[in-house]
Amino acid sequence: MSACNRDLNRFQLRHMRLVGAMLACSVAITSGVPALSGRQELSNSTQLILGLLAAGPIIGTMIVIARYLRGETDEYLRSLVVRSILWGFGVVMVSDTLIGAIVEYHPHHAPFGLFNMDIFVVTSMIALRIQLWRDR
Amino acid sequence: MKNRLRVLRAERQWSQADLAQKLAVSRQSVNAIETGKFDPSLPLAFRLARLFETTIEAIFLEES
Repeated sequence: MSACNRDLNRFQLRHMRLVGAMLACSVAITSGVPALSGRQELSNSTQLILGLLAAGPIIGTMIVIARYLRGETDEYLRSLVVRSILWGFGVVMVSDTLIGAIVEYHPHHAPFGLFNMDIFVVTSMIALRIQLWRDR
Repeated sequence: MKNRLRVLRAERQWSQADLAQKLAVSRQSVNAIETGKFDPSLPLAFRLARLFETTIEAIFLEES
């Protein structure tokens, strides 16, 4: 994976770019949704659409990762990617729980939950990079 | 699981990258198998055995 290894084949590069594109979409949406929702009172259907819009890149990323894991012929890299994804999910769950607790005691409207995707991708990439570095 | 991959590779004067290329895997995979961090699947073990013209048991040794 590109951020982690320069020796990428075309298949890996394509999926890496797709994950990057999903992350860019996520960043754009997480920047745009609070700006939209903060300006005016939104109807329930608009809120639902904005919620689905925010979930879009996450669903897209899951599809890209699933397709990558199905197509990756190097079983060791596959196992590293799976481990990295688990790290990503773990950190997202910990940060969500932590932020959930903080918001519970100090309620305000900061949209921390919208950054789940960003935290997931960045953590997974760091985990993958560390694992590949250990096996260099 | 212990293995004789490094010895077999050295006998043929192959680098990890050479072996990785012959197996169509990454160099990190070869390194992880050699150091015992990763046990390959049965299909990859068979490919290794075929490549070194030996048996799987001659490459991989069960730790008792």
